[in-house]
Amino acid sequence: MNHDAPSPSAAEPLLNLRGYTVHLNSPRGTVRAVDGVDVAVARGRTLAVVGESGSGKSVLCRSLLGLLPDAAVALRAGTAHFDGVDLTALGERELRDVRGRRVGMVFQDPMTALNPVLPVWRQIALPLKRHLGLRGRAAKARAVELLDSVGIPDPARRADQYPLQLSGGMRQRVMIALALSCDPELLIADEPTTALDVTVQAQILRLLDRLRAERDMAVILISHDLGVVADHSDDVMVMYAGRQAELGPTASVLAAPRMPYTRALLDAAPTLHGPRGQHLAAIGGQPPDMSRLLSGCAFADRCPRVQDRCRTEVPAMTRPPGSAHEAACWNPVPPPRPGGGTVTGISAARRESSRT
Amino acid sequence: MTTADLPVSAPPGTGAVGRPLLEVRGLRVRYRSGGRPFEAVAGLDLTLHQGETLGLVGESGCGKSSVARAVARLEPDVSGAIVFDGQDVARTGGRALKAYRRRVGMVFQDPIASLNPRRTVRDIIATPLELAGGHDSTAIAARVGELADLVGLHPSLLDRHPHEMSGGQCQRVSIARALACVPDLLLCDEVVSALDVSIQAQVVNLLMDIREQQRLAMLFISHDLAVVRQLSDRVAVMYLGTLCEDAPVDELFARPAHPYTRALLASVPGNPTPDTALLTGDLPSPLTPPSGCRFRTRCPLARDTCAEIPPTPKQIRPDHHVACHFPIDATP
Amino acid sequence: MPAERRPGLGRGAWPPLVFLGVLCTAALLAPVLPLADPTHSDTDALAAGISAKHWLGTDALGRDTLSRIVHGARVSLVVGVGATAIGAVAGTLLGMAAGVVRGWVSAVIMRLTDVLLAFPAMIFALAVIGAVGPSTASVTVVIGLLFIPGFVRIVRAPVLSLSQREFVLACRAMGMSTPRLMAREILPNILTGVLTYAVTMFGVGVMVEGGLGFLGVSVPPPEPTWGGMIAEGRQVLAQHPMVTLTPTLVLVLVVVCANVVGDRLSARLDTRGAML
Repeated sequence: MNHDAPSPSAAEPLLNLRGYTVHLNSPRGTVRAVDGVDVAVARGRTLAVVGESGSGKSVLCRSLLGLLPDAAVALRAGTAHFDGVDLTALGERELRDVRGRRVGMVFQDPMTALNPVLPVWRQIALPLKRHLGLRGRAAKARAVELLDSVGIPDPARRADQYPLQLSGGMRQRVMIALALSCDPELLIADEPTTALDVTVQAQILRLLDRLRAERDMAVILISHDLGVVADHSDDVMVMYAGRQAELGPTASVLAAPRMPYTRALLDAAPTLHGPRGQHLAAIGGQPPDMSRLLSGCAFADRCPRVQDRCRTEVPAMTRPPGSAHEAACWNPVPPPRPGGGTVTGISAARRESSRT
Repeated sequence: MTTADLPVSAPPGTGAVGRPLLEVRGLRVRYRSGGRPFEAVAGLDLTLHQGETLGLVGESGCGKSSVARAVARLEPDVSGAIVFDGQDVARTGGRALKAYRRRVGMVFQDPIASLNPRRTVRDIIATPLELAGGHDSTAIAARVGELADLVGLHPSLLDRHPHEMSGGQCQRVSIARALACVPDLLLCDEVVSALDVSIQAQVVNLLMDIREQQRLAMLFISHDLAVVRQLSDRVAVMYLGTLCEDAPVDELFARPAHPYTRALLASVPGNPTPDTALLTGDLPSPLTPPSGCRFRTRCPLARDTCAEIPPTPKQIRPDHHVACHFPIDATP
Repeated sequence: MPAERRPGLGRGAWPPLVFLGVLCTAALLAPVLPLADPTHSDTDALAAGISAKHWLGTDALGRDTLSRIVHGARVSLVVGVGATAIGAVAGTLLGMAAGVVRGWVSAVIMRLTDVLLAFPAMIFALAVIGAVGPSTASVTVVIGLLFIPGFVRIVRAPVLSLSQREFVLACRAMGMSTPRLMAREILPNILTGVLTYAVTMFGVGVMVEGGLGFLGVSVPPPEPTWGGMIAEGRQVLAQHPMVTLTPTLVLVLVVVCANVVGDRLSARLDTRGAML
């Protein structure tokens, strides 16, 4: 799976967001959860959305499919074209046809996302019936087939079990089978492995990679773990305080981050290699209060490279000279010297070797 | 008013890592699940020396948190010996237990749930001092200020309630509370797991500083191998209530000998790993553990012996113990 | 949803609060208020309607209804408040004990609660009051006893989940004793729930007292009680419905007001934090 050469399908992105903005109501006022995001995903590719809690990465994806309660959304602006149709212009009824049918979702906690009183195959049969009109024996056969495709051993027996009888990893596989039931064109995986153990996480992420390649699906992988992103995405969008910080091919962003926030995130994470026992490069301070209108860069208060301009003008996404990707920064981190090698623990070179 | 005015329960160790502070022998922790008893920890030996940090890693359900809770005397159904500073505290009560509790501090995973939502930060940090008794209110107030300073909490935060603070700040409060009575041992149960990467680094750094300053021994429990590697002097790996491997940190990460430790390291994202090195399947239920070696159902190297005889830890290199019939020989 | 903080209970809670406040004040000040003697019969106005002399009319014996309602409120409100207090205090203590101290303590408390709940409440009240004699004190204690199981259940569930919370574990790890743990760490976290439930139970207490008065086992005549007034009015219900309806209306209003305030209180205290 080498995506370096732009394929014809990559020219026409499956999902294309322009100036996508979501403001939410909270007791402390309006929160700018997502602020002017421009991003596109093509078929057969994985876009990782990375950020810490409150960065807006989950709100972004949930609001796309109308999964946020109406009362919570204060404002939604911009466009979100999915295969040529603007999702923001669709009503609940039309969105429901997109949800589950053309876009599948996998959530962090499979236990709360599955109905505990229905056997597994019946939950998978629900969308099969609704969207494809499959019933009875045909639906069950398809459900068993799907369970088999997500690597559940003995799928015919597992299909009759209840979610409580399955382990966490199994439940997440069931969730993925459910999301895939109607052959979606886009799969949104919101922290799909955060609740799982590391050995199971590795299995699930590899499964997602395999399914994406087999079905030529587009995948949006939301994660806070840069290691996961390095191994399992083609492009990455780093978000901070609801805004885009950096966007581009994963290898380029992680090997040569230009926005100081991305650099700091990479440095702050402890690794299995390299020096140990010294202080981690922590980022001082706290993320900004999102109910406040920020006049400049959201990261200015914590940024080691801050300049006067950073506090007064919001930086736009631009491609800094000598970079293969875009960053929103007035004073970008210089690219690493050629030949100097990467200093990140999660090196993109290793990623390339692991994916080929 | 300084720390020295407060009763320091024991003279701090000689500074050198040497004398065992905590020795856990044959620890078993039992729970009941729907009337059926099962062992979350099934015979565990651990040794923690003064001033040393022992990392305890394993997946959820392996019993690592039960170990910490048993050492903190929070588990009702425990057998085995917990020898702290030469005394078995597994079954003590009354005055001796109170004295022991002052020498052991504990920090939990969930930063918000660890703090009473109805109390202010000041009250929360003062609680262990009030329980210890013997301090007047000015001494307590001074000590609270000192602790806040130690963990990097701005004094203006002292009058806030937990829900008015971020996760990282709450975890600092928990650490301050655990340090209030100048303990010799700090039990950290997944203390950075709920925090974002940037905040996690702050708390890890704080723990490293405090450990130096207070000459603390630490039992650092986490599922995150990278964090454990960062903080620990020695690492013990648990699987389904039993100990797999126990070695100095660099030795363990460079030459893992137990197949489970290998698989665990291979699973960490961001590492080049062939699919074949990954484990298949899930953790078996602790209600019905496999016979013999508990890891054998997922072990790529399992043979017939593994199903019959539970392996006992044996030393394969200096201070490197492995509980496996067929440890991977990794001569450098 | 408005973004700013709602400071009070909301506008809807004020009419019931004012009504309950006026009633309580009147009941407290009844002896010094310029009211007619509640036991004096005005033979010129038997079962009379509203007039300048009798603002709410009179009953079949010509006694002033307003005065009897205000004096009756002294019994109803004392019983309502007293019974709720007994139920709340005893129920909270027992519920906390059942939640924190597992094993036989919990088992005994919960079985006793079940027994009390399973016993028909009215028969229990009639039997006990019949045995010890009707008085404000006995009625209050009996209704209070009947309230205990409800409070035990309201308290025990959150205590069970709180005692698994890490801050309770942390306190136990510091060596905090169980009574102190209950009083200082757990009680503040369940008080709002208890308070909300108590306001609603106050209304129920007033209603039960009315029921007992109606059956003639509350405070005996000639002392006025709302239940007694309703019962006495039955004889002239066809000709003079107001004699019965006026005290009934007051009783219903008190119960409704208590419910409204209870609801508002719980809505106010439960909603906190962000929507997401």
